[in-house]
Amino acid sequence: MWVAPQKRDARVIAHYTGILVVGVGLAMIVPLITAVSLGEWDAALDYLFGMGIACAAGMALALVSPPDQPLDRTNALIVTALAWFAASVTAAVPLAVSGNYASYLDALFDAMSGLTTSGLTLVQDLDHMAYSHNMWRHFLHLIGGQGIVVAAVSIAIGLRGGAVSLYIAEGRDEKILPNVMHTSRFIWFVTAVYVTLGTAALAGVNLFSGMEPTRAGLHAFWATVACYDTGGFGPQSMNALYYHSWAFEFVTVLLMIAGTLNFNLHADIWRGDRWEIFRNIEARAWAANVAILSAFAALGLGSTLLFSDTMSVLRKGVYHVLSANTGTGHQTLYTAQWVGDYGGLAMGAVILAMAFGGMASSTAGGIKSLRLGLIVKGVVLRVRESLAPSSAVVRAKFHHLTDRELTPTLLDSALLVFVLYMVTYISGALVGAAYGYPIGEALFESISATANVGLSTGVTSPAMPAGLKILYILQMWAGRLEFVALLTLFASLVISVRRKRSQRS
Amino acid sequence: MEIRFHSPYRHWLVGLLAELAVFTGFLAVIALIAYVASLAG
Repeated sequence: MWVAPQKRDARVIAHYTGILVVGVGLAMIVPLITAVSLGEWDAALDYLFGMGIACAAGMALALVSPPDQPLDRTNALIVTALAWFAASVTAAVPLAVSGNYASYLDALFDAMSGLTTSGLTLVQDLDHMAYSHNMWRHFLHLIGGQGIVVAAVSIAIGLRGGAVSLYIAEGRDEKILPNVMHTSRFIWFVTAVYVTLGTAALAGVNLFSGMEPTRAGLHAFWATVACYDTGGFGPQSMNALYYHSWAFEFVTVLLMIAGTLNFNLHADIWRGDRWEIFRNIEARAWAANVAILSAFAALGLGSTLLFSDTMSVLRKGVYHVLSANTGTGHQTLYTAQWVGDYGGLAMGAVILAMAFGGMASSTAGGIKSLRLGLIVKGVVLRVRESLAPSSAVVRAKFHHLTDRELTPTLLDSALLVFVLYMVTYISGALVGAAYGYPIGEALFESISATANVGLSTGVTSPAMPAGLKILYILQMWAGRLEFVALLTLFASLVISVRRKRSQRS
Repeated sequence: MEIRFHSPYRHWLVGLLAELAVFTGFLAVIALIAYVASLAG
């Protein structure tokens, strides 16, 4: 049944969205401090301006709409969908006035890309961007990757009624720990440990490479956040290629894998159940996925002119399969090399790695290996059913944190999301082709945006048509929310409009 | 009577090290697979 949203629903939604917008404004304190510390006074003004707008707009929304009912599941879905857009609109303000973006739309594109941990960018003159603006771009990965909603749960909302609904709507619907507050704190704790270790390791690598200390530390922190939160932004236009360091690539790959690991698996391993990672269907499906696609990428690169030696196979082949599959999007190639030098087979492996994606309950995007594992199990189940005697009851079990049975509902959910992703991937590619881009590159970019990866063949640039920029913004938004929250938002808007029309007539 | 204090930090540290060991081992296996595949390419 379609239930039309009431005015009191709108008040609840506006109130919580307002709180989240204020949260984004307060987060601008981080680039503001960076700007003041480093004497970037123009940038500091950009962030004061951004904070003012965010706090004023957010508080107006939150105070004008005091909620008179708790946040239910439907409203939580709508708040989640709106939160990403409202946060992006807010986060884009200081970027838009920075002078590094051709328009507000380009800044909005980067803000959405940052918050959804995609990594596609429309920034101009990145190599000379202020440190504080780079801090904000990468900090967006951190707050987006760990979840604006989880952050709100941890900081702003506390233990009030809506917290659990918001957390479920985020797409992390498995309880890691019994209490939602403990769960979000555990996520932040694991993140803090990995970010600290990653920053220290990469700072060492950068210092050894000859960078001056402040720059080495900042680049290390940004690369760590971009990899652990599977984002993909970089402070240099050449991205990871800029560092020309196998040690840098090794540390970042470890961070990417840690970032794509299901938080439930982190929790199990950190609490002593070390063998869960070997039994878990999702971890197994992910490992098999990466192994097969790495083999195909290596097979393809083996026959190319530039990348057939062993180090190139590892640093250009395996690195990009992992970067694509974890949804990170760091690249060690010039964008033109994807089409010119990489070869069709290896590029196909990277495209599939992007499309399939990492693990659920992590910062990775894409279809997710848990769903792929369930779909494969479902196919095997159907084959076994067709071979078994008609009186036999055939069942399939799998292990994901506990032993479970593969039910038709689970399989339907996995297939539904699989189909939604495939339709979005292909639709985006067709639109890109309609704008005149080669279909292969359009498909690459469409999958990269929807699966929140960030690898690019060069289609994504400030010069691309505004329609395509808007499409990729929508794809990044939809992919991050795995469609359901966004569809709920659009459905409620349509129902509201229809109800108003019917009331008038 | 012996009294033992169980600190979660010890579990977490061992868990972190276990994760890093598994990730590194996995990378080694993938590198080997990729190397063999590249020879066939």
